[in-house]
Amino acid sequence: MSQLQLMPNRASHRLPVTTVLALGAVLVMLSLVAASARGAFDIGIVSIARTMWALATGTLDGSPDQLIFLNIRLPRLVLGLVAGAGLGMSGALMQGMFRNPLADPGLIGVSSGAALAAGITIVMGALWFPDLPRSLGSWTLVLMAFAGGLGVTALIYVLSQSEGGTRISVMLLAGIAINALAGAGLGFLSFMATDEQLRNIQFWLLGSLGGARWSAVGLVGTIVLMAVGAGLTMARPLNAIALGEAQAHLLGVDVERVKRRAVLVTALAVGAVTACTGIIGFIGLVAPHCVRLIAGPDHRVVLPASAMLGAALVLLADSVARTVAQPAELPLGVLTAFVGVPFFLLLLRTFRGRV
Amino acid sequence: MKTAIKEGLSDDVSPRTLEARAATCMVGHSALLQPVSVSFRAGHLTAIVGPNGAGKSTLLSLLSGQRQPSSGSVWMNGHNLRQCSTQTQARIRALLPQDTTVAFEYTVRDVVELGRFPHRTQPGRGEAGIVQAAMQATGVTALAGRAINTLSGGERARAQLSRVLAQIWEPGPNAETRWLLLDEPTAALDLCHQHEVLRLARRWAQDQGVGVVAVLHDLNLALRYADWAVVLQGGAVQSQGLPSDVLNTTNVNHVWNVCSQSVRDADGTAQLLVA
Repeated sequence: MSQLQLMPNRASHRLPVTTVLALGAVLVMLSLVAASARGAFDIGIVSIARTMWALATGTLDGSPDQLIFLNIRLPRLVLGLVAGAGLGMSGALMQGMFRNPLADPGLIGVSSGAALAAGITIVMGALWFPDLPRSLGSWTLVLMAFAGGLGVTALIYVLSQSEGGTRISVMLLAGIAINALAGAGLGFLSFMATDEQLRNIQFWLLGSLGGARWSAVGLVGTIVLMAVGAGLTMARPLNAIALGEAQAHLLGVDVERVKRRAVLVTALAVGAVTACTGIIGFIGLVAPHCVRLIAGPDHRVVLPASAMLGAALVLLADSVARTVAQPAELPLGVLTAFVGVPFFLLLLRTFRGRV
Repeated sequence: MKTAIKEGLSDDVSPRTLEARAATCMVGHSALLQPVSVSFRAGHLTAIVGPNGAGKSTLLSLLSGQRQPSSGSVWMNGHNLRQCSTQTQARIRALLPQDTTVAFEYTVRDVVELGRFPHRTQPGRGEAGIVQAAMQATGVTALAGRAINTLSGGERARAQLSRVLAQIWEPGPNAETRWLLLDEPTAALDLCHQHEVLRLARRWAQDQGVGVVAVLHDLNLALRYADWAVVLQGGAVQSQGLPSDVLNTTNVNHVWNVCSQSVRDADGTAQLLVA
């Protein structure tokens, strides 16, 4: 009984849904403003506001401030927004589907598959498919990575099929095994690589928004927006799945369909983001946790708020990456891990009884 | 409400039963359930009893549609389960599981609200009232804001019972018979709550015409609260009938391999003493 009184009543401290979503929107806006002003070339808020006004009224004059902002900074901001949203929401989807707070979008192989395909393209590309760059140009690496991510996810999904449907525990183990295999493949490629190729692989594995061009951002943005839209419709069934797959089924949830869609949505969103930016770690793991601590586990909040928080985190991390070691740019994955790992360890300490 | 159900009874042409017809359950080459034919009646609390591994939970999983019978069929209110969508089934049948763990920090109220999930496309008049009343019914109102995983096993079981009651709180639009399946509902409960939960289940059967099927290990609870008892042994129905008839000392000693004596309670209910 004494334990009963000592236990803080977590639930009553939860913020209401609308407050959380409003806070999330404000946070994203603030991150956008902060990230837009800072960089190798400081533009200044006033100048940005003027540029946006000129863009809206069609009176652009082609000044350096305008050109840099519209062609370099803005696509990068949009890519950061989209990447963070895709990673954050996918993390929430995967944790909900696996019923495991330690799940990560990478668990279904999409990141390692993309990385392996990128590695193969960088190291063996000239040897195995020399004609590809001629037709695909700078899209070669992006498309190969995207295909690799989807392919490895499909493999893990097929491996986890059994008589009664998709076995989540098998998917978890198959995911870990295939990820290890992809890691070994990458290791072998690194061993084979020339110094320049090795640098390219390294750069890719650490993630960066530096490659943001409007064409790529448009494509990734479209895919991620559709995936986020589809993901948001799965909130209520995911809540039911928290009771266990059997109970969700008894509540009338088509559990197989939910799992299939969660995997597909995650593979598309994370695959598209990763293909364009390389691997950005820990956002998918950390963002849903922060949201749950503040707002509780209801997926109707967790899914959209994780997308918002993920976007804000990536934007802020990227603005630090751009400015902290000027004129050099730190890899984004290094910064997200610097924030993510201590937070993750803190979570492990806090929730060790329940992990 | 009572009269409405009574009227529904006389008009209803479909049988108000939950039935297994020569249903079997094979896993690999071993049969968890021999062909079992058994019919459960609405308005009754039926206890499924039997030693460990007799197939009680397997039978319950067939009745709840969690498993498909390997051969034979299961019928609810005159419909083959194979021809009913899980959605339709969920509106009139709920199962209290043995495993009551929930992922993440959902509160008791969150969990009970999930019981209304099958009704989200056609919500009743007082959805919020149903959740409140369901929590009251099992005495968990005071725990409503607590994270369910921080509760004791017994409190968790009562919160989950509250959820399954919320799931079938009201008769469907066509006044179909509702079914409440309980898998060892008393396992985690203290003495007082064991009796309270079974009294509640019996009230639902008698007052609302709900069909209650409970897997029970405590034969004395079955003797006291069940209207009908089905004894399973080795994946087959060994006997069924009034609890006081089938749970006589000879049968109990034979099936459970124990040495029991029958005594009478002050109100005349037969109870077993096991040495």
